[in-house]
Amino acid sequence: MKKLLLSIFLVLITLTTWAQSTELRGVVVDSKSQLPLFNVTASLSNTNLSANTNEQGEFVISNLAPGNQTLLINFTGYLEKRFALEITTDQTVDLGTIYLEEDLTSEQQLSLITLTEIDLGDDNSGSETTSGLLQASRDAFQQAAAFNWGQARFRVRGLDNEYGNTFINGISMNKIYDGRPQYSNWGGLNDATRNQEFINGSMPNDYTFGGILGVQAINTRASFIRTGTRVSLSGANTNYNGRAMITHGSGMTKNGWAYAASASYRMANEGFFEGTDYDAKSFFLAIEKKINNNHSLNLSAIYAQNSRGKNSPNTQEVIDLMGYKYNSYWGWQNGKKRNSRDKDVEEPIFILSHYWKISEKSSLNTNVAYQFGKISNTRLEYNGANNPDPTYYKNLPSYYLNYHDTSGTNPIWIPDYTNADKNRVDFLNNSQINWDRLYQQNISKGYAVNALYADVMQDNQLTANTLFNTQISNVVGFNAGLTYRNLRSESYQEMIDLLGGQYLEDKDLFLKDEYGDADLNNPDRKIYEGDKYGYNYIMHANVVDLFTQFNFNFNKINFYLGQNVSYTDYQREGLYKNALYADSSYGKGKKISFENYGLKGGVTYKLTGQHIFNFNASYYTKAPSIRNSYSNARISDATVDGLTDEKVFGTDLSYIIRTPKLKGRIGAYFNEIKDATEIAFFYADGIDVQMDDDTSSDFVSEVTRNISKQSMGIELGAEYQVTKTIKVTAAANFGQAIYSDNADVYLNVDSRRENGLNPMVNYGTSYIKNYRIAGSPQQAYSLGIEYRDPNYWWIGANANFLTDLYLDISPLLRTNNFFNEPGQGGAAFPDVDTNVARNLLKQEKLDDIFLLNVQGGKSWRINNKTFGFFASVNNVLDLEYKTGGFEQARNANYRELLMDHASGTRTFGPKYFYGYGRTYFLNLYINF
Amino acid sequence: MKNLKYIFPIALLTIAGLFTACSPEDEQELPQYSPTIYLEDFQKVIDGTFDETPFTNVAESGTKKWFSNSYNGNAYYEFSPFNSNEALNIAWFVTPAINLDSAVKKRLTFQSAQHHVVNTENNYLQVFVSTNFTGDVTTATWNELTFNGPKTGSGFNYDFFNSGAVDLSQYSGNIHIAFKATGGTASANAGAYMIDNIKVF
Repeated sequence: MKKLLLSIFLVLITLTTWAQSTELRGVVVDSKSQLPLFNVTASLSNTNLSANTNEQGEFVISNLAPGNQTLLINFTGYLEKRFALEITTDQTVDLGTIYLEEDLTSEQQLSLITLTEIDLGDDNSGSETTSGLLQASRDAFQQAAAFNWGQARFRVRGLDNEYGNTFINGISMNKIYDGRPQYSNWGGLNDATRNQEFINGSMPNDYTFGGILGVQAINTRASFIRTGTRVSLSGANTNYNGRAMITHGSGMTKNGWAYAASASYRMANEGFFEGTDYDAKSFFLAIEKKINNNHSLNLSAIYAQNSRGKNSPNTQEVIDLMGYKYNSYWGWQNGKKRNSRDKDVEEPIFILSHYWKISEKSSLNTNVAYQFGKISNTRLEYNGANNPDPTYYKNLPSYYLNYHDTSGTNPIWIPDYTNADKNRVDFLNNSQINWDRLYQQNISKGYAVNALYADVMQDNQLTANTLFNTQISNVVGFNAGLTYRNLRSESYQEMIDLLGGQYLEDKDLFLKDEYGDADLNNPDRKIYEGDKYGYNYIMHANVVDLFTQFNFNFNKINFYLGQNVSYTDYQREGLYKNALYADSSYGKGKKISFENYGLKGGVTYKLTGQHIFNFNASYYTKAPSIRNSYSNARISDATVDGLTDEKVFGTDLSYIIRTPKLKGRIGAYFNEIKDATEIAFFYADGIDVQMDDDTSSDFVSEVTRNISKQSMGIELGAEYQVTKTIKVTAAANFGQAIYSDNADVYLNVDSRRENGLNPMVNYGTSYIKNYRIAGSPQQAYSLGIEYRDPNYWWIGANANFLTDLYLDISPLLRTNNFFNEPGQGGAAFPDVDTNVARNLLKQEKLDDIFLLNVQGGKSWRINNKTFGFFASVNNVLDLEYKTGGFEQARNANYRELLMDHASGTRTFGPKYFYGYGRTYFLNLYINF
Repeated sequence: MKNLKYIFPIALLTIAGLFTACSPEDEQELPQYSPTIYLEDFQKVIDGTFDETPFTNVAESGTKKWFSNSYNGNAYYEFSPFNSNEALNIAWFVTPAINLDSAVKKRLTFQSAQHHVVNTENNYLQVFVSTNFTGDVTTATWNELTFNGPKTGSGFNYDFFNSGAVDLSQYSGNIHIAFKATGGTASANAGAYMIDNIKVF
């Protein structure tokens, strides 16, 4: 195989024809300020030739082939320019000064609701699952996906962002823990991170082999930050109310230094949803030294601190009683709304980069990054007290509406309307957390029965990589990259607030006495504020990744081949000796390792410069993330039973049109993921896990193995310049994402250990084949119109329709256990009706979403300063819409589900997330 | 070029057709379940409509047979040698024929309870299966089945216990399940057994 590749490679080199030396040059300046623009990309659209401007705004493209060519001038934040050229042999074409006009609509980027900072699940993973790979692209489809569909949590190709890669200065920002980037790590630094490169799907890039979703590469090199100062002030009613941001870039100075700095502050006493406060401070600093023409050093430091109150997903019963903005996580305390579920992110990043231009044709970029800090999520605990959650199921009317007499063979529905109404009145009067009562209970007991703690993940990660890029010949380009990542991640529970209690006993009172100790090395501990307790362990991880890539560029055809190999290992080191796992919780566990590889390739065929076809295919194996490798890493080093690599395949085919008036892309994609493992963690309130005792308040993990997912569809994005000032855009995604096969499920119930039982309860096959994958509308359509006045103002509107949005299903519910009557040796319930069962297990389709958005802006130039504003109103019609939801992982059998449906108001119904109603964003800025 | 123009619309229509032609929802499977092919919960005893005819209820030794009984709305069958004035009582209670061929898992479950059983050496409950029972318990071939019986001791009097899954997978066609209880009038052997919720699936 290797020999074959080598010989193909050699043949291709000999095929290379050396073109005559013809040059194309020009100088790019800002149309308003007349200042040269640095790092602008100039490229010839039907070749792969391109060049970037230097500090004086100059670019030179050499080795042009004769013929008709289109030159594209691209720069983030500016309107694209194109020139039709006729190149003849041995001639230098000088285009002189090229004026780039600032793209007013790029201000829209700053208004992008940071959906990435909103939680989708409540799984303590500390990360977000919305695709953030949306912001940078200029493609009409990607713009619609980001600005118009992002509000409804649209995911490109239905893929989770663990199948994409986000880079800052060549360093991967995807966490080893769950494979997803933590966008809050650089949130609020929109100006400093606006230099972004976006690569769609598995197409080649300079940084990595990459996933099947795409690559977002942010460049924060000091000399790349826009020269000058920019100050902006914004108001909004989304997750924050106000934002102030200031950024200054020096540009490359004569003595070879460049620096850039940025700071921002975002805040809300209460965001769009009740009780969601927001406080985020972000700082950025970059210093670059150009040592000589061949060597540059850059240091970028990012410190983004983000603290916010989360909002609860709610059942339909609660939404009907309280409205969709209701949030059960907060309560009044001393006249202020206090949220019990705060998420704090504070993980500074330092990246030192060396840029080495080895020759005209080769470069080497070496980066070393260090990131440390913590993510913490607070939560209320109650150990020997009532559940403080106001929406606890026993507090709601449905608890009595669905009441059954279960003493006989078949349950008999006996709704208790009196108590249901009493619950309703009580709930309406006590719909928020009663902090005062929690304090009183603690004070009267002396010790804490209620307490506010945080699940903390404290990381120290070192990343080093080197990226090599060379043009072997006019035809052959070569990239290679070697990356090493080392992570030490400590996870623990930390006491934040004893709520008036003196101390808390570090003992699980729901377990038998001899099994309750969190740490046998330190039994019967009393916990005070600031103490670590409950669980405490370190994850050690090492990842080494090597990729190579060959690019072959011919006049009409380009193709590439990429490959990678990687090694990953994880090891858990327990710091506590948990009583349930005295033999497997303390000290270092077994090291687990994975070896993975990938292969990809693709072809671009340029029929003409205006009609381009592109095909890509990628196959790779993927190590399970740390999160999905351990059954319950908090207290045991047991790994998931039968843990395997994921197999990922993706392919797409696109047709790209670039005529002067019409620009667009239409493509079809197909992705298949096999052997995926997913773990969901939850508190099993009353879940029946085939054991005799009550498991209320048990922390349970649901492990789903052998998951197969398939997504396919058609993407369309087009913009048509109707007149010089009016542009129409259209985008569509017609897709389908399903589980393409059944999976296997087991539960890990630690408390079974106290009865001498195996914590693993195997539920066998989960019949999820052909259920839809949740988390994104599978069909989305957008139509927009934009008027851009020559006098620097513009206005636009777009209408969007999103459908095929489904509820996340519980795999546990769809196992054979569903029909089994507990304690009956596997016998089905006597009253099973398969039609009823089909209805109970039917996946809920959420309502279609219609969103109308308008936006506009204007800028003025006064005394060398640019003033401007941007304003947008999203969801103008103020329509309420669900963006997702999940089935509660409980009531996992036919009879209980039937009982839950008795009154029509479900007690354990799905919990839903809502999108924002009508929101506005106003941004005022000044550039000087 | 002209031909290429049509490739994409055709491809798109094909894919669109594929999507709309087969909605994935139509091909979802339900989890598997084993329908109960035989269930006897004796509840008809309560309103007097229970028909014992299809059962075989005989005393192999002594005169005590199984009898219907109920407590707190739950009906069951009981065997009690108490006050029989016979040293040995053995009684059989045999189900009607059950055709195993329609069962998925081929399992038997039932519940049993006892009261006043003090020893299980001479006062015990056995369960058998036969494929050639024709009405006479003495001529049929009986294979004994193992099950979880009721716990004994006064603390467990009248408490029903699940038998656990009793495996019948090696049988096919028509079978009969027999509950055979043994005891005697002596107070050490006079404990009673109760059975309920006989289920085959």
